[in-house]
Amino acid sequence: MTHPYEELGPEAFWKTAVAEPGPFGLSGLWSPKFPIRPRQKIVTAGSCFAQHIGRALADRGYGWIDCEPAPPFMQTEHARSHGYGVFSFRTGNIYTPAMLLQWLELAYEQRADSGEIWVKDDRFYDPLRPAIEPGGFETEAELWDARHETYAALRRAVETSDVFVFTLGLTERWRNSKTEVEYALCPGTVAGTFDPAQHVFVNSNTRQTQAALTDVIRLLRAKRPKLRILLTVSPVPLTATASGKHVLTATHYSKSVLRAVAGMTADRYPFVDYFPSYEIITHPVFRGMFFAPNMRSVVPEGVATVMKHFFADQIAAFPDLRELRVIPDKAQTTPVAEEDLRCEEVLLDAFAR
Amino acid sequence: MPSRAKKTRTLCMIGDSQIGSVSLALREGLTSVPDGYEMEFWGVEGPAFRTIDWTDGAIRPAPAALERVLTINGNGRDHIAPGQFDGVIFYGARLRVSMFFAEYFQWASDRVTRPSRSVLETAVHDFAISTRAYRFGRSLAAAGDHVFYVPAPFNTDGVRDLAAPGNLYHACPAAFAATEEDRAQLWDAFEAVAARDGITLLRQPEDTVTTGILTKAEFCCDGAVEQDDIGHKSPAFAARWLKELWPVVETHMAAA
Repeated sequence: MTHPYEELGPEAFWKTAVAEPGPFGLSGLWSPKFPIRPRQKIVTAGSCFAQHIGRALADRGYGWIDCEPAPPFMQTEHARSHGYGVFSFRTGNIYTPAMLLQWLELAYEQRADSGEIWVKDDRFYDPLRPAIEPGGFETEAELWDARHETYAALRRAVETSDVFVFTLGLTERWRNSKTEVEYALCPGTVAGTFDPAQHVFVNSNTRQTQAALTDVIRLLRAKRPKLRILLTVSPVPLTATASGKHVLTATHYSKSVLRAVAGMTADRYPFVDYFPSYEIITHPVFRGMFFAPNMRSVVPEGVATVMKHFFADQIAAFPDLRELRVIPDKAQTTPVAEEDLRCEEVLLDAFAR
Repeated sequence: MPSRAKKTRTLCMIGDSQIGSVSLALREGLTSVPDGYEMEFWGVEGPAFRTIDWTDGAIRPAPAALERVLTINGNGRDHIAPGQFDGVIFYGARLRVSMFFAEYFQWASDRVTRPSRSVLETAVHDFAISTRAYRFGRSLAAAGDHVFYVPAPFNTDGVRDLAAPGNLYHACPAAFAATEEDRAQLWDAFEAVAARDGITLLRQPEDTVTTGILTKAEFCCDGAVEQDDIGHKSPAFAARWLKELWPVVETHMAAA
C-alpha cells in the first residue's frame, strides 16, 4: 500500500459514489450502527420532518409506539389537529435539543414548572406547545391536566422504547430570561404577549446545541440504559429567522450546526447513530427535486426516497432484516397523513409581510 | 267568546327495531303521548335501516325497504322531509353510544387525567356524525325542525358474558367499573355536541344502568336469554326513558 486511499472502496470517491450513479443510483449513504427491527418499540420526536419517519415506520409495520393516543372514534384529521398521533406523545414539534431537554426534565421532575400560561380571548395556551389545543384550553386546569398527561406519556415512551428517533430542526429559539422557560414559538405569535425585557432570542452554536443534546442523551440513558438513539436533521428550511440575517443564510447556519452536532454526537457514542435524511433531501446532487415549488416543503417522493435509503441501508448492514416479513399492524395508529403535516412553525407565515 | 281549539301538535318517531318497545309500551298503557300531541312511527328494522338515506332534501328508504317502512308507518308516508312534523324523535336509530362509552372508558383508564372538553367533544362529535340517522337529525334541525334523539340503550346485563373472549367488551374491561360521574361526563359531552347540531339528546336514565355500561337485566326484552338478545329492551324500559322525554318535548314545543 503506497497510501491509504488505495484501499478504499468506491463509496469513498465522488466519481464512483456520486457522479457516475447519479441521484437515483446512490447507495450506501448510511452505515447503520445497529439494526432497527419491526418488533422493537420506536419513539419519534422532533421537528416537522420527524413526522414523516414515524409514519413511514408505522406503514411498514415497524413498532412505532403512540404513548398518548387520541380518544376512540376521533377522526384522524381532528386527532392530528389536537396533536395526537403526530409524534409518540402530544408535545407538538420539538425543534431544538434544549426544548427536548426541557420536556424530559419536566416529565421527570428535574425541573420545576414555571406556571406560565398564555391567555388570549379568555382561552388558555400552553407556552410549550401553543398550537396543541386549537382555540386554546377552556380552563387553566385543563391545560395542566393535559400537560401532566403528556409528562406521563413521555415517561412511558422513554421507559418502554428500544429506539428513540429525534429530528433536530432549529437552532433559533426563544426563552424566558427570568424563568429559563424554552418556548416552542416566539411569544406573541400564536398566543402570549411578547415582552422584550424577558423574552430573549438565542441562536445556539455548536457548543450550546451539543451540550443540550448530551444532557438529553444522559437523561434518556439514565431512564432506559439500553435505549438506542437515532438522530436526523430536518431538511426543511426556516420559515423565518430572527437572527438579523437573510433567511437563506440563517437556514444554512442552523442546519450546519445541527448537522455537525448530530455527527459529533453519533461519533461519540456507540448507541447513537445519525441517519442522513438531511443530505438525501438537500444535497445538490438531487437538484432540489424533493422540494415543493416553495423550496421549503418536502414532497412525498422525497420522503419515499429517504425511507428507501433507510430500509436498504439497514438490510445492507444487517442482511437478516431482509428475511423479516413485515405486516402492518392495523391496531397501531398511523401517525401522519401525508398531505397535512403539523408544523406550528408555519404559523409564523401569518406574520410574514 | 268561544275558546279557540288547541292545535294538535304532531310528532314523528323515527327508528330501527328499538321503536317496537315504544309501540308496545303505548299499547300496554305504560306510557302515553302527551295531551295535545299525536305521534306516528317511521322506520325499519336493523340492517334495512342502513338503506335509508337523505336524498332530494328528505329521508327516504331504498326501494327494497319501502314496503317495510310503509307497514311500520301506517300512514303511507314514504319519506320524511323538514317541516312535516312539529317535532321529530329519533329513537335508537343506530346511535350506539355504548360503543363509545366502552372504548372511551378503556382509553381513559390508561390516563392520569381527563381530556379537555374540546378533545372529548371532538371525539363525541366524530362518533355521532358517523351515524347516518344522527346526520339525518342534524339536517332536519338545520332546516328548522325540532329534533330529539334517544340513542340506542346500553346492552342488557345478564344475557351473556359480555366480557368473555370474543365478546363486545372483552377489550374494554375498565368500562365495567365506570361510575355515575364517569357516565355523566360523557352524557354531558353528547348533549352538548348534539345541542350544537340543533338536536336535543336524552341520556339513558341512571336508574336503568348497572355495571358501568349495561342496562339492568330487569329491562331485557321477552326471550332475551333464549335469543341471545342484548340489544332490545322491554316496553317498561321504553316507558321509563319516555318519561324523561315527554316533558322535554313539551318544554321545547311550548317555547317554540
